[in-house]
Amino acid sequence: MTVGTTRLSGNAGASINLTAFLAGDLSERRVPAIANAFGWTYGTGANQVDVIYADTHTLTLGSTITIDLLAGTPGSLLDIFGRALTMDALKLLYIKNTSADSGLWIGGQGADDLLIFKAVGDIIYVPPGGIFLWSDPSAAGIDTTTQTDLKIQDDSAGVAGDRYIEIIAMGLDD
Amino acid sequence: MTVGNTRISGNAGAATDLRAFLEGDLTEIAAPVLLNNMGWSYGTGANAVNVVYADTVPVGNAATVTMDINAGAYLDVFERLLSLEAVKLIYIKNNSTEATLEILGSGALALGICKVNTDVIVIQPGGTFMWTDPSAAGLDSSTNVNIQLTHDGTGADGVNVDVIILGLD
Repeated sequence: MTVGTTRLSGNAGASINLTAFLAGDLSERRVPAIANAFGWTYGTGANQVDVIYADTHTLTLGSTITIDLLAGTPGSLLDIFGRALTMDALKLLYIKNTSADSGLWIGGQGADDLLIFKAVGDIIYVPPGGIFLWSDPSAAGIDTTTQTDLKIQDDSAGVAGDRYIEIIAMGLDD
Repeated sequence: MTVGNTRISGNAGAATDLRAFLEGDLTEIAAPVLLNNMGWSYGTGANAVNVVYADTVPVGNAATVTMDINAGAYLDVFERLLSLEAVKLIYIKNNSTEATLEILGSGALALGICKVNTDVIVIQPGGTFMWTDPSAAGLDSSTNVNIQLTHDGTGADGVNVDVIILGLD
């Protein structure tokens, strides 16, 4: 007997709900700035995913980790249900640098770089405490069957010791 | 008489509130994925900003718009000249259904988000990009001032790009 249905519901993405107030003569001005996260469901269409990877990785001063989303390496990476990670399309990537003093370089592995950059070798910087979020809600997402690698490197700016990188990747299973 | 005080309140950042369920034999597994976004206030310290830019920027088919966020060429949410000295949050959404948007990479004056000033991030149709630096200083934008938005030429139409920037005046 099988219990339940494999499914997913909820929202993920960039979310902004700010209100700015400007003091003035006899009145104050109020302007909201709002952006909503995307709704996601289970499947392979637009705004759908069928695999989620969510984990924290540890780096040390100046160290690098390269995550192969298709092969599920280094080691044997598991999705949130404990299944081997084999992602062949990426639709959302979230990275948070929880270090208080070291930055992160994302990308730059080379020929196998994820297609979130225009050219292989391109690199984005995530400062201490900062986040990087990228999403592609299309049905196909970006292909990760050949350009599979998410390289993350500590920029050696901080003090020695462990620093923790939060990663969420949502996409399609191989 | 001055009414009120200039202030900012609210949250901005990445947020997830997902529930994933895996059917199984006799049981199902539920795995929540939760993230809270960041709180921001008015000021110049950590997690504080004193200027907000929020607008839709049109980019023609196969065209490039280079936004100088320091030179006063744009208006903030209160319609004051935008002269950002530091950036703490950038949100960009590609509203096209067919064209890819390429951001940054303008060269020597490119905003220093990438390691090299010609590095480019690609936002697919309907996709979003967000970057934050909640530190007190943020990312200096007094010299590297440009956010370049380039339509890749796919399709027949231009694209309206949602841009929100939080930072220091």
